[in-house]
Order: sequence, then structure tokens, then C-alpha cells
Amino acid sequence: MINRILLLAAVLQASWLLYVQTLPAPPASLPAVSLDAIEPATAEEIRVIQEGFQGTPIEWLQLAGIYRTWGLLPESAYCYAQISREDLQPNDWYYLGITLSRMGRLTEAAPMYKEAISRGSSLAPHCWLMLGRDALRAEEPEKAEAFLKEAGNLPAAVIMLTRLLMHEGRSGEAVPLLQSLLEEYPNSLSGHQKLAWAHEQLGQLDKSYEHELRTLRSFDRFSPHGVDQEDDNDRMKLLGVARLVTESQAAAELNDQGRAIDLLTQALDSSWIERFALQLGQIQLASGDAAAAQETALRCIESDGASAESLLLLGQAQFTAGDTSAAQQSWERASELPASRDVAANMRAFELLAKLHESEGNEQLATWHSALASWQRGRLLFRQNDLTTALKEFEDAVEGLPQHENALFMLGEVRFALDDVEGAVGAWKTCLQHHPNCGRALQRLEQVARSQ
Amino acid sequence: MKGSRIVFVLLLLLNGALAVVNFLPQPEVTIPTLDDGIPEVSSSNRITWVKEDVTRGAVRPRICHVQILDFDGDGNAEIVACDAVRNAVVVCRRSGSGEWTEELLAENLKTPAHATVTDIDADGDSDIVVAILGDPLPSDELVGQVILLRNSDGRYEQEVLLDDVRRVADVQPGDLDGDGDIDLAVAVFGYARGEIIWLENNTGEFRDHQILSRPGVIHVPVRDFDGDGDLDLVTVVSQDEEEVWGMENDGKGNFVARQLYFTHNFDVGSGGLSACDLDGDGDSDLLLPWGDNLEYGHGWPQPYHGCVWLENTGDWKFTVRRIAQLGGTYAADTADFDGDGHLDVVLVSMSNNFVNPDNPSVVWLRNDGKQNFETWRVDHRPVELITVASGDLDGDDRPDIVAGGFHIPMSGLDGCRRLTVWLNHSAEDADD
Repeated sequence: MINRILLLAAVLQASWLLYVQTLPAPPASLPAVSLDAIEPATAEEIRVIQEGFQGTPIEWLQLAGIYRTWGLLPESAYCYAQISREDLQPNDWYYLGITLSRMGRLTEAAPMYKEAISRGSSLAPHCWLMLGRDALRAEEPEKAEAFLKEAGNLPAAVIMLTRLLMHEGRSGEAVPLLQSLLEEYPNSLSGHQKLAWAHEQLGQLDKSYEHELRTLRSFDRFSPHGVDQEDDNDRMKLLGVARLVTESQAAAELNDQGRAIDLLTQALDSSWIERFALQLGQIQLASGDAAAAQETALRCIESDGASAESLLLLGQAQFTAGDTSAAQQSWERASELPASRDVAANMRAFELLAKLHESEGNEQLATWHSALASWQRGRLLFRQNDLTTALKEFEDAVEGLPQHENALFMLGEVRFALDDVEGAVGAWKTCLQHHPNCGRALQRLEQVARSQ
Repeated sequence: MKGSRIVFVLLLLLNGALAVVNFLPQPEVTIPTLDDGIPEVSSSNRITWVKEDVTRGAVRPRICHVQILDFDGDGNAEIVACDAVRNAVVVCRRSGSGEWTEELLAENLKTPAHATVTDIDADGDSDIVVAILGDPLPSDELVGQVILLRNSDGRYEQEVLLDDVRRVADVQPGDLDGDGDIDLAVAVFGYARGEIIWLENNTGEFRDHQILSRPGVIHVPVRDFDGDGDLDLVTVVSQDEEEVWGMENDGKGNFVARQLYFTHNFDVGSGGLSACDLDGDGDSDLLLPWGDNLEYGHGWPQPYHGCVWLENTGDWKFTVRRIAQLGGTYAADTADFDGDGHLDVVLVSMSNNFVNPDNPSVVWLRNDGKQNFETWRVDHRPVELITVASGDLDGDDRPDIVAGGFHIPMSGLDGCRRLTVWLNHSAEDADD
């Protein structure tokens, strides 16, 4: 009897254990992740996501993307490894490849891209681009060329391919590719730039020079990085400082300035970035809090050094607070520092100074600053390839500043771009009369003489 | 029967044990440290490096350039640094007791990238020519300048020699047209567009001449690279082009540009270019650090990061060899650190995998005299180092190291310091 009971117990237990084996394995644990290299607000939000982690495939994918965007690449690879092949969508294979590529594990990345392609990923051209890029990183130009050609008309692939061809002395093959690119993207800076170099290599210096000049009015730039960088940018807006800034912008657009200010303040408390601080200052100004805007501007100056943008903000705050003299000094300082983050800052400084002097009856100073504002506006319009409007601005600038070196030089530039060669030569010669050491004006005149 | 019971009991115990094991909590999985392809770097027993912080500074420092030289001609070496937070050029002095003091030389310089000490006006004192980036972050705007700090009885008066150009990363002096005065070679890094310009000195007025139009030119060393008696230029073109160019001078300031080297690998991330005679054969070679891949806002050490030596073999030919591997390498300098008569190299890293505390931020490469290099660790902290220089700071005739830190925006890493010195003590001294 006892034997039968023991036997039954053993059989039941064995059956139970067999059953347990058929159950799905418990989810793998999250890896131990160090978030030390990530700014605090983002790190905290990642921790919250980790704490709520249940181990579903979607969550593994979410974390894989987060880790990749913030440079936790082994962790990202680990997350992908927890997902079965069946749960990976075609595009997921691409992003797994990106994780491996960024780690420098190029031979492991390649099959991921090929898997994405074979599964019909909508990112197939980008997969070929990445295969080509990684082949270049591995110094395998033949493979790279083949892969990049498979990417078709993807602009980043064309640019990479033409770079390869030119490095191998095959600029003749690069030229038609670039010309084709420019038909579709006539303002492509990379396209004009590469074409200038290709013509230069072929000894076609006039054509090279033409495209070189065109780059000055081009701003589309194709990065060799493709959708993965866009993916990063989109994801960054969902967490941490970038999320706070994005939400702040949304609040500001809805005129909820209080919330916009709160969110930006939180962002800056986590990670001080000057351009976000300047945004905060502008919202503070718009909300009527000139004192806070002034404080923000001063903090920018202390933290990052004076800039045209921070001095412009400071002046605006001072003016709003009624301190006209201080505002004038700030704007004058702003006009002396070339603007970089907000390229229109110098123009606005001159406009504000012109208005200020006009209101005070200083006609001469008002005219002078107005001419300087025209000069800055002309530069902005020129780079946007709005040549006709730029021409008017430079003419106004030169009328008010007849000896201004850059205004005269740029007047020549825009006339030349409008095929008014005689007018361009006149402007450059005038420039040299006042500034005989303006080498670039000399260079332009020499080029014109060579081509005629 | 008894035996059967024993078997049954054992089976039950075994089953019970298996059941317990199945339901034990899973141990935490630890990610192994990434095998970043960089061999572990140990410290040499030839040199002991004693670290010193050089004056307190910003929480998020941005030092763009350091150099060691006898700035004030008193026989002691000082550190001259470009500070992009203070927007200033400063000089740091070390007293005999090891105290550091700092003096402001000039301010209101928007992101100074490189300060070059030279007597530009030949009046017997040291002026400073400063390359102005205008913005430490990627920008293609016309914010660059070259500013002369003219020495006027020990005070520096600022004069703009070049503006309305893109970000300027370097300016170097030399009599480029052979007329007896000091001209200037300028590297306009820009971002998507850049150029090499030389400024012709016309009795104190400077005329600009463009030599090469390429983006991302970082440094422009001036040397007689072809041994024909005049001064030539070389530069590195970064920004995914990754080429080294030479500009051959005819002695009168007419330059012919030629590509000396390129790599298909657009991702190497050239960090600069410096000239040195690494093999001691009397000509000028080049050192090219690779490791700037901050396109994503975070770097990752790649297997090809480190330092490349371009050996000058004459007639504008260079043989290229990688001499070290170090993730995120950003800058290099040379000195005979171990006093064996051969030129060694120091490298610093901007973006190694610093979450792993074993990964170094500073290494030195010991030259065995035949240009075989062993990599030795100097330190793993501070991190985010962007510039390095070597020279004797404590008067013991042994070259020391100074490095400047540059905080990466949005980085949460702790351990970025403004200016750090490592004093070179031999192993015997360390035992004292």
C-alpha cells in the first residue's frame, strides 16, 4: 500500500514537472544598466520605464530603441536578443543592424540588414546604404560600391558613392550621378560641393568654380546618416530634457506661457543648454516678466559667455524694463558678435538700434543702423537663394554704408549670381578701392578675367 | 520491497528538489562590459604620473586648446589655454611649491580655438594670434575670426585680422612669401563648408588668399615638408571626407594643393593634425588622431580609433601606419617621456566608453627607437579631454602633460575637469 502511494506521488510529481517544462520560460531579467552618462531627467524617465517592465516583445523593442538612442549599445543588443525572430518586424532587423553598426560590429550587422531586405522592409534602400557605409568603414570599397548602387537614388547613398569614386580617381563617373541628384534637389549643398570637387579633379576649373559659388547659396545637406538619426531625434523628444522642451513649445503655441516656463525651467535644471535658456527668456519676455528674462540672459552670459543671442535678449529685457541706455549698450555689443544659433540676431539688433535712435531723433545713427540691418538681411536672403530681394537689401546697405567691405563684396556676389557680371565687377572694384586687402574680391576679379 | 521504497523516496526527494529549483527567483543578469576591441592598457613601471588640478573652473568646462611654453621668458614653462566658457585666453603658472595661479590675457573672444604666440610685428615682444571658432557647437555660420592680441607693454590690444568667415580652428605663423615678415596660415573649419586661407602680411595689413576649399579643416601645420627651403602647409579635412592635404609653396606664396592621403572609412573622426619628426630623420612627419564620432551626441569607441603616423618619405610621399588604438582619441602630442632619446606620443580621449572605469582617458606611447610603440596608461580620469600638450612644468627636465576638458552637451558623465596636469616622475622618484 505504501509503495503504491509513493509510486503515485512520484508519478504525479513527475507529471507536474513535465507540465511545468511546457510552460513559457519566465522573461529574462533586464540587464544592469548604468545611466551615469545620461543627463538626469532622461535617466530618471528611463528608470521609470525599466521599473514598469513586463518583458513583452514590444517592451524589449522599446527599450532596445531607447538604449540605442542614448548610447547604451550593449544593452540595446541584449534587448534585441530577448526577442524571438518571429516577433521582429522587417524594419526591426534594420534597427538591430544599426545597433551593431554603431558598436563597430560590422560583420554581425550585415546579416541584419540583409534579413531586413529579404523580409521586404520598407527601409530596404537604407539597409543597402548601411551595408555600403559599413563596407567603407571596413575599407572594402568594391563591396561598398556594389551596396551603394543597390540603394538607388537615395541621396545619402549617392553622396557616399561619389565620394568613393572621387577617392579612386573616377570623377568622370561621379559627375552624372551628382547632376542627376541636383535635378531632383537643386539646392543640395552636398551635391554642388561634390560636383565642384569632381570637376576640379577633372581639370574643369570653370565648372568647378561655378558649383563652388553655388554652395554659398545652398543649405540642403545630406548626412550619411539616414533614418536612424531621425529615429533618434524623434525618440529624444519623448524623454528627458528634449521632452520637456517640446512640451514647452507646445504650451507656448497655445499661449500657456506659465506652463511653458515651468517645463523649460525643469529642463534647464536638469541640463543647462544655452539655446533652451534663450527660449525661456523669450517666453518670459512675452509673458511680461522682463526681470526674469534679464536674469535668464545674464545666466546665459555667465555660463556660456556673451553671444549675440543672449545680449539681444538682455537688451530686450532691459528695454522692456525701461532702461533704454542699458538696452542700447547690450544691442551694440550684440551687433559686434556674429550670431550663430539664431542667425537673425544681428539683424534684429541693428533693427532695434535703428528704431531706438529714430525715436530719439538721431537720424544719422538711425540711418546707419538701418543700413547695417539691410546688410544682414541681405546675407540671410542670399543664403536662401532669394537673390532678387537680397540685391535690393545690399543696394540699400551700400547706399547707407558706401565703404562697408562686406556689403560691397556681397553686392558683387549677388550681382554675379544674377548674371550681372559688369555690375559685380564694379562692386568688387569699389570694394578694393576702399579695402585693397580684400583678397576674396581680388580672387573674384581674377576668376572673371580668366573666364572671359 | 525495502529497496523499492528507498528508490521511491529518492525519486520524491529528487523531484522535490527540481520543483524548488524551477521556482527559485532568477539571478540578475549582468551585462558583461562591452568588448570594445581596445586591449586593456596597464600603467608603465618606467614612469609615475602625479596628477594635479590646475585652478578651479566651470562645472561644465570648455577648454579648446592648451600649450606649454615659456610664455613670459623667465625660464619657467607656463600653460597657455583657450577657454570657451570665459571666452578668454589665460596663462597658468606653477610655483615652486606646486601652487597654480591663473592670469587673464584677453577676454571677449567668442570661443577661442587656438592661441599662437608669435612676434607678428617684429617689435621684440610676444603677440598672440587667436583662431576664433565663434561657436563651440556645429555651425556653418560666418562666425569665425582671426584676432591679433598685440602686445603693448604687457597689455594686449585686440585687432581683427580676418572676419566674415566660418569657424576658424587654427592659425599658424610663417614667412610664406619669403619677404621677411610673418604671414599667417588659417584653417577655417566651418562645418559643411570650410577652407584654408593664408593671410599675407603687407606691412601690418593682412590680405586673404584662399588655397583650398574643403570642410572640416582642423589644423594647418607650417613646415618645410619637402625640404626645398620654403614653408609649406598641410591640413586634415575631416567631416566625413577624412583626407590629408599638402599645400606646396613655391616660396612666394603661390601654393599647389595635393591630396596626400585619404581613407575610405568616413567614420574615423579625425581630431587634428600635428607635425613632428617622429623617426628623427630630419624631416617633418605627421600625427593624426582618430576618434571623434559624436554625430549622435554620444561617442562609442571604434576599433579604428587611435593615432596614425604619416611618415614623410620625401617628395610629398607619406607612408601611413597606425601606432595606437584608443577609443575616442581627440588629440596627440610628442615628447621624450622616458628620456631614452626617442620621441614618444601622448594621446587623450574625448569619448571613450568611460562608463567602464578601466578605459583610459590619457595614454602615452613609448617609442622603442624604431617607431614600434607600446601603449601605456596614464589615467582614466578626468574624461572628455579634447586637447593635450607636453612640456616640463616643474623644472625637472622631464616632460609633463597637460590636458583640457570639454563637457559634451547633455552628457551626464561626472569627471570632466577644466585643466589637469600629470607630472612625470620616474619610477625611482616614485619610491622616494
